[in-house]
Amino acid sequence: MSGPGGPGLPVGARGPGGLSGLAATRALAALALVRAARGKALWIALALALLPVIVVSVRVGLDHDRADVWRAAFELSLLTLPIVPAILIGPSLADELEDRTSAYLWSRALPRWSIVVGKLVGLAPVAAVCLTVGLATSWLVAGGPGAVAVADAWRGLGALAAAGVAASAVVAAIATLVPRHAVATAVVWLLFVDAPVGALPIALQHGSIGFGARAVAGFGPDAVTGALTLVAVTALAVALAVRRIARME
Amino acid sequence: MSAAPPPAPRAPGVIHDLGYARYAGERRPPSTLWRVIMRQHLAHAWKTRWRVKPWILVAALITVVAGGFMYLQTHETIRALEQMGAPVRMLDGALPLAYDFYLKAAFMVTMTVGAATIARDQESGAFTFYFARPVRPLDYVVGKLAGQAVLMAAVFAAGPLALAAFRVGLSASSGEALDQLGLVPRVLVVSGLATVAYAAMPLAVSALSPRRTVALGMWAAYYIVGVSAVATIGALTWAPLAAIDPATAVNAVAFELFDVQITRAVLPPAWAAIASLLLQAAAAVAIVAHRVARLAEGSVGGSS
Repeated sequence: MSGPGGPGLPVGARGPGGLSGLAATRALAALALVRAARGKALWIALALALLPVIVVSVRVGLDHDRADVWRAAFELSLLTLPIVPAILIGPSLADELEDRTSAYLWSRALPRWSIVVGKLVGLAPVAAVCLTVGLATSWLVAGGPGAVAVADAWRGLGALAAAGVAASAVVAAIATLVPRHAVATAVVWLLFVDAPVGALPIALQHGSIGFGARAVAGFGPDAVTGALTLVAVTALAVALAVRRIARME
Repeated sequence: MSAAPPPAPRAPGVIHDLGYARYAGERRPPSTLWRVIMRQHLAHAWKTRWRVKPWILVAALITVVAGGFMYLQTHETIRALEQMGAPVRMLDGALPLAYDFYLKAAFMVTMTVGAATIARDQESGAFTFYFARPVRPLDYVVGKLAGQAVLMAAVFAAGPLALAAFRVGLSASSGEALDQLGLVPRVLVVSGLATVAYAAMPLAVSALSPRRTVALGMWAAYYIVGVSAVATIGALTWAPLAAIDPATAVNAVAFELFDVQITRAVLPPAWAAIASLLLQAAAAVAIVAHRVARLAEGSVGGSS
């Protein structure tokens, strides 16, 4: 049976004299990480994630209720969710497919799924860290443990990190579907489809990253449902990306 | 043996190269070069299925839906409800409220075409070819801005003008129709401001980065998070500051000119909105002109 490793290369198999899936994933993750560290996108993402701190500082200066400030900081950080993963993961995967440099990777004896998973393993944590650095700074500016309980802060940070990973997986799936307009489509999807659906009181919201993040952070009905939503969206998006890349010419 | 005759003098200006052929195509005056660049920009935007066509279709659908609301208002059932005091006055509200939806379609166009345009030319090394010919940076800037403005006008002006004409057509009397003709200049003001701002601003961001994807990310960051953060601060401290958000500014001008009262929305005053749109557009044009002039200097004699 031919798995997502590519035609004639079953899942988990090692290519003729090539890397195992795990080794290839590790190598591609390291490469993606090095490229991200050398590029501008990482710094833009970090600067963007820190923008909510300005609003938080103003609200603190106006002596707003700290619980409201924390909620506002979380919502503003969610606003950066469509962009941070899109500019980190989108170009990394889409450029490879659009510029046809993926053909060189196809010619190597490595399973195709390792390309998607490798990029995600390398860059999704970076997106999550960027997002959480912004929210953690906002928490400190809002007054730290004296204003918002440490447990609540951890919950919020964990929720945002998980949402960042889920959004990264969605961006990877979109990049394999529409490599030419990967960044634009990912931003539009997360901003105009995922975010409004997550805010609506309808059953469909259970498929939204925004809903999942709010629920896990304690701003939604049920943290377990929110966590399941994030896991399901991530798994579905990764599966879609892996399947799509396996079928590419 | 007599001496060889001296060679016949060559005619000046003759090139002795068998592969050379004198350019026989159309020769355009330099003042029209921007039109060529504008047409190329429009052709590029129109070429594929996903760049601009879906968003123009979305704008057309918004127009149809808003027109439908206008028409329903003239239905006798709705008129009866209105006479009973029900708050269903959509006939005059549909047009200004539709701008909020046109803004979303316009943002899509900026993401698929506007914010990537100049960065794509930088990425592909197209400047070497542009400026090796008698194309001045000014021609390039005017051509790109005009092309982008045409695309934006297709979203911002065509639909609202059609709605204004429809509103005039729905008038119950010729006197009302004459009154409603006043909608047209108001639509032109709002759509003109929106077109200029949404054409220039993404191009400026596009000129700032040599990578298309980074330019797209920067534009999305500015539009979604940057101005939203400032607008939030404006809503908390000083309302005119909220006008930095181009979408809020366009809505503020539309609501003011069409006399729509939205009590729950914190909107900046119209003067601040107009000033913000004009200033941001002017700053964007200045950035584009400056960056393109510098890129032109660096491109001529370079390699692609």
